[in-house]
Amino acid sequence: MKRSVKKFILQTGLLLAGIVIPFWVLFKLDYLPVITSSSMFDTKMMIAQKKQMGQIDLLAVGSSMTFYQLNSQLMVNTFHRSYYNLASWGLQMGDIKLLLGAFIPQYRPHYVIICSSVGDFSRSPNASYHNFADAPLFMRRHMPELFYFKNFSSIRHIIRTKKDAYPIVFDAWGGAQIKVDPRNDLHIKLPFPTVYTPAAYRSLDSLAGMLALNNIKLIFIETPIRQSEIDAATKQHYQQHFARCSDIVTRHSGTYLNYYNPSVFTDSLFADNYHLNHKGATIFSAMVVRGLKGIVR
Amino acid sequence: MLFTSLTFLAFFTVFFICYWLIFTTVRAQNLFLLISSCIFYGWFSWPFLLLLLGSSAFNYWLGIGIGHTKDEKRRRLLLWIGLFQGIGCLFIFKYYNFFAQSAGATFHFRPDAFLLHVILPLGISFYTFRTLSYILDIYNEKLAPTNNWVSFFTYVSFFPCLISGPIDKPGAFLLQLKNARRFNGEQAADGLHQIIWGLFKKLVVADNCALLTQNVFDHYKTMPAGSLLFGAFLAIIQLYADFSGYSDMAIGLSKMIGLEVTRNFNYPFFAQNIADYWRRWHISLTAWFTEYVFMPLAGRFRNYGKGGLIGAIIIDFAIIGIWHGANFTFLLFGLLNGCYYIPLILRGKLNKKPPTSKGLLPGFRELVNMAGTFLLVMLTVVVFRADSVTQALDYLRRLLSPTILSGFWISEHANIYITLAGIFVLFAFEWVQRDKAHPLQLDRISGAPLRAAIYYSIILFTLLCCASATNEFIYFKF
Repeated sequence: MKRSVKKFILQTGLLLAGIVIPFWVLFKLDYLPVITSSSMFDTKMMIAQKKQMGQIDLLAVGSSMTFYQLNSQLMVNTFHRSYYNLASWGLQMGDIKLLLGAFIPQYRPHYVIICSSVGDFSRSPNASYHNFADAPLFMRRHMPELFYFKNFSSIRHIIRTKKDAYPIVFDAWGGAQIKVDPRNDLHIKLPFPTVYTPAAYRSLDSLAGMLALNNIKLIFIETPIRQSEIDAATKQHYQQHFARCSDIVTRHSGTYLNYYNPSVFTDSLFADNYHLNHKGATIFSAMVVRGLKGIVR
Repeated sequence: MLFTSLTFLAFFTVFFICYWLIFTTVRAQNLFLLISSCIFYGWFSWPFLLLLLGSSAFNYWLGIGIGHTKDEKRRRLLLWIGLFQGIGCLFIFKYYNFFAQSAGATFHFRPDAFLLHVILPLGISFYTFRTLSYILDIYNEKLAPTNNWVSFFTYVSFFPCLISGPIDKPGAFLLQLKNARRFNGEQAADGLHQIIWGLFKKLVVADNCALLTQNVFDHYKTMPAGSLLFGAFLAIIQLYADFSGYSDMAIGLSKMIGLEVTRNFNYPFFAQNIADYWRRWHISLTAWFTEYVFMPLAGRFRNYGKGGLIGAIIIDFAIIGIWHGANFTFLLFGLLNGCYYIPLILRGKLNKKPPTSKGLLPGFRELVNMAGTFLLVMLTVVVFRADSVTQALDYLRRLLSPTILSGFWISEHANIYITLAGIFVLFAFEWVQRDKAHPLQLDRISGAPLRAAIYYSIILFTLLCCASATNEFIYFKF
């Protein structure tokens, strides 16, 4: 009987090999598995995995605010510590909290830097990030090809996702210079606060608590907003938001820095209402680096 | 741990290797099967595993009690205790809140204080029916109680069929557990092929249909009747491909374990009338209700002639409907199907099987019968799929309007051609292979390379065209 069982297992293995091979070819051709609904996030995670990074001292996470506006070269040259930017477009505070739960055991950072704006507190979290965060660490670190089967994306969908993805050139530390995607909606004013904002504050609170528990220093940085977008009522909402974030972060022994400064960041330094252009990002990064000098030791 | 998940693949691979290579005695195989089933169910919810084991233990004890006593009153009492426990559990978890809310709406009081904050244990409707049929069969002296608790617990919690059936009768299943299973390569390969077919149905047909039907049902008020007809068509295909896909996987897995379980679907869309359809759709549930509900009712109403038969069928289908869930839509679904039987009963054709062709193409009459039955069933699926009776009736009212032939549009275009291609492959294979247990039983084809090419084509089609989002199986919520 054992022989016939082994023969069956061998035949089934061959059948499975016939399934695995097309995906292996796709992986080699850089048609990466569709893990979440953000092709940029998926690409970034695969790049990070290929680098096989170990411990990272300074870990930048967050939305496009962190992704575009922290100058990687400046961070590395100033602090001389291992640094990587794992931020991705569109992440909400709930998503950041979820993903940090996956990043912390993997990268064991000493500092977590989040550059944030009101947009990170205005939408519902994206459930598809669970596909990544809930996957076993072994799979994320050593066998990302398994995501092809974990999430069951069709080959057609994988090819289409790559074709439709907005091309981004990452620097060696996961950051990028801004080139505003014409398809994004940030030329319009984001509604704030929204029904999702209270939950986002709870996520920030929980995230800050989680970092404190793990002896990781949270550095939370408010990014500038284009002044021409702000009327009196909005300004009041923003001030309340800053106070709330500051309260949450400092309560958990984190550092709160606010660079919402219309006199420095004039409208000409913005690519859209919320993102600084390259010149603005350079000024912002320089200010952040100065601000962090006494904090990152 | 969905059958379509990587976790299940890992679980089953380890199980399969240990089951066939390490555990070779009957006792070891059954015990290992039971432990694996507990892990499988516990993966979903450990607290509900206790309910499953508690219910199994209680019914095991009742079975022995009913079987070993000669006192009719005591036997009847034990049976009623068993029925009360099984149906009581179902009532509490599945129906109580529905009845409390309905009573609140009828008698104008706020039911909040009376509501129970419980979630429905996965598979409770299925494993409860297994325990019920066990004690009913012992009471009716069709089955002797088993003294082997491992076998009984394995019967109730057998993991391929635990969550969504098929609902096996205890006699045949327990008999298979009496002897050690010997590995049969042909049976295992057949099981594997059936799993491939089940995966194709679920991932390509059902999940792609789901995207489109969701779109139609969400926006049905703004769509022309043609779109609603198309939505209803996709809804029934989705339901069939989803549920029968799951059943194919469950049966295929059982075959790989060396156990034969009840067939659950027999190409229902080729049915010639509604009675024929229900003999082919969810066979294990229909058979259960026929034996334990319809037959006793029909016996009791036999003095009323055809009226009695109609009454028995309508009650039977009303209960089948409500078995699906606590909503008036399911009750209406059952009643509609029951009413469809009336012409057959009145014309004395209930048990007559219309002749069918064996050839490649159906006869004209056969085709008309199939299309008619399909249309009737499709209308009931609108009710089944709707959130409320009001929505179902509104959908049907808009569907049966003069614009029905004006063509259709839906806003989700991306998957429409893939979905239709998947449905075409589904129907073509099922029609050609309608005399087989499943369409990938290709024993008519003598050349092994050609058979392998067909299996691999189905796999490749699944890999290429499965939906971008896989959904939980529809029948998990029942």
